[in-house]
Amino acid sequence: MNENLPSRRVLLRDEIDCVPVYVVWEITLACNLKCLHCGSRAGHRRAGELSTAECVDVVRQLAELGTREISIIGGEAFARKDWLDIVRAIRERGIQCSMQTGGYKLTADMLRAAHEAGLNGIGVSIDGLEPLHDRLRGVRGSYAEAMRVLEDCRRIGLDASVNTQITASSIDDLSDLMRVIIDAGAKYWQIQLTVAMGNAVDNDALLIQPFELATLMPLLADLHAEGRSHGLELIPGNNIGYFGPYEALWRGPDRGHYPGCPAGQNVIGLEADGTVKGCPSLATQRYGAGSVRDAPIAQLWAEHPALRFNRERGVEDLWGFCRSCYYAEVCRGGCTWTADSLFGRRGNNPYCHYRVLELAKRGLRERVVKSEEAPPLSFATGRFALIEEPLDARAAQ
Amino acid sequence: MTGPNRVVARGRPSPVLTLCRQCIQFIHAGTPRCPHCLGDPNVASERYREGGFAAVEAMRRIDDLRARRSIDEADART
Repeated sequence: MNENLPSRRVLLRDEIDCVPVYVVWEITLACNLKCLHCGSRAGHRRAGELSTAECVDVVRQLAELGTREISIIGGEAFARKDWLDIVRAIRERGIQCSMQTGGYKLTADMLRAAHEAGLNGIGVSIDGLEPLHDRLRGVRGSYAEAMRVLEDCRRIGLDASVNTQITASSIDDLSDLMRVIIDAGAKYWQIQLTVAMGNAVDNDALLIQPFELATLMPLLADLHAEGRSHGLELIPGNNIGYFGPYEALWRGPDRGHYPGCPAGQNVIGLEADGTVKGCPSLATQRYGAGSVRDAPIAQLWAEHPALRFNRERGVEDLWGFCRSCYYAEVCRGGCTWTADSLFGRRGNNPYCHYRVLELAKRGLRERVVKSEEAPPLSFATGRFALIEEPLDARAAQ
Repeated sequence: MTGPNRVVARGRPSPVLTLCRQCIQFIHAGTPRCPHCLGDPNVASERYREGGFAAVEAMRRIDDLRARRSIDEADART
């Protein structure tokens, strides 16, 4: 292992050996925010969440599989009383540990304790300027708290980054938000599109439409360049893409291009009750591979079909535009979560800049329309219809 | 840094694309004519030269070759 490489970076050897380099672990579903776009519908803890001893054993198993970074999430990870014990267990195994948080009621003392326990960094969710953020997160004062956490991290010396979900309402806030983030001292800003899952299906007006990538992506490219000149790195999440004119700007050539969805090949998602998935966000019903209570993780990882779907890298799963795309073999429909959540089936992802531009050349655009609600369950999906229409069909919206 | 005790699964690696040196978009290796800009992808444009893309592409290629060689050596040992 090259110690100079970021722990989460996937190497060729990792791809071939299916090393679960990066694990995202929901350690509890308890949460103190009420986010309108929450895919897991977090709030109350799950029935049968893993005990401390079980969590420590999960860490041991992941270390044996070669995991290099674990990101603890929730709900709100710090809602678990033993969250620092879990952080310590991860660090004692030589695994990097980060935490994604809304930051609400995460005090300076708690941050200091986490830093001392070995937490390597935190990602704070900020989805817009104060009015929008507080509305999306469902708690007045949550924006001020998130900003206060960034300031506390700076004073404590804990690395802090910002995660932003892009909704239809947040596009207008992004430029001003970036300046706020720069002033707050964050070094990384990860961008992700809100996906049609859980509460976001109930509130589907929050979803941007695929054709809006035509204006969003040039904006992100401008922000990427501006951010870099101020020491802020804009990092595209797994559902920002793919292979459009800005791919080399934010993913390559030094870091390579988008390699296809890593779920189940180099990523594991864990739910708080021990359910193993290839990505933390995937629908449990279709992608749950069983529980750590029932089988060793190595056995599930090696054998369970719900985890293996990305490993052979064929294009058989692709359909629609993605099936015949120039980048099909590499991209394989981009983010599995995004496509599967819309259509109940992976392999055709309308949230793709290259696709939007290619369709525009033919005078076409796409939008999604909800046809079925999501049940009131964690990681539940509804159904959406994909509408292809003339590019100038604005009146039809 | 912790390493894997054993390999429990095998996967195929992602195919590697190269940059068109005209329009700086990714294309399949060996493509004679860029499908995006229709130019010769091997002829460096001003943007390619001034952006330092040649250097970072070369470094990436060296990294890739070293990784593939270490994998071949490891496979030969097993």
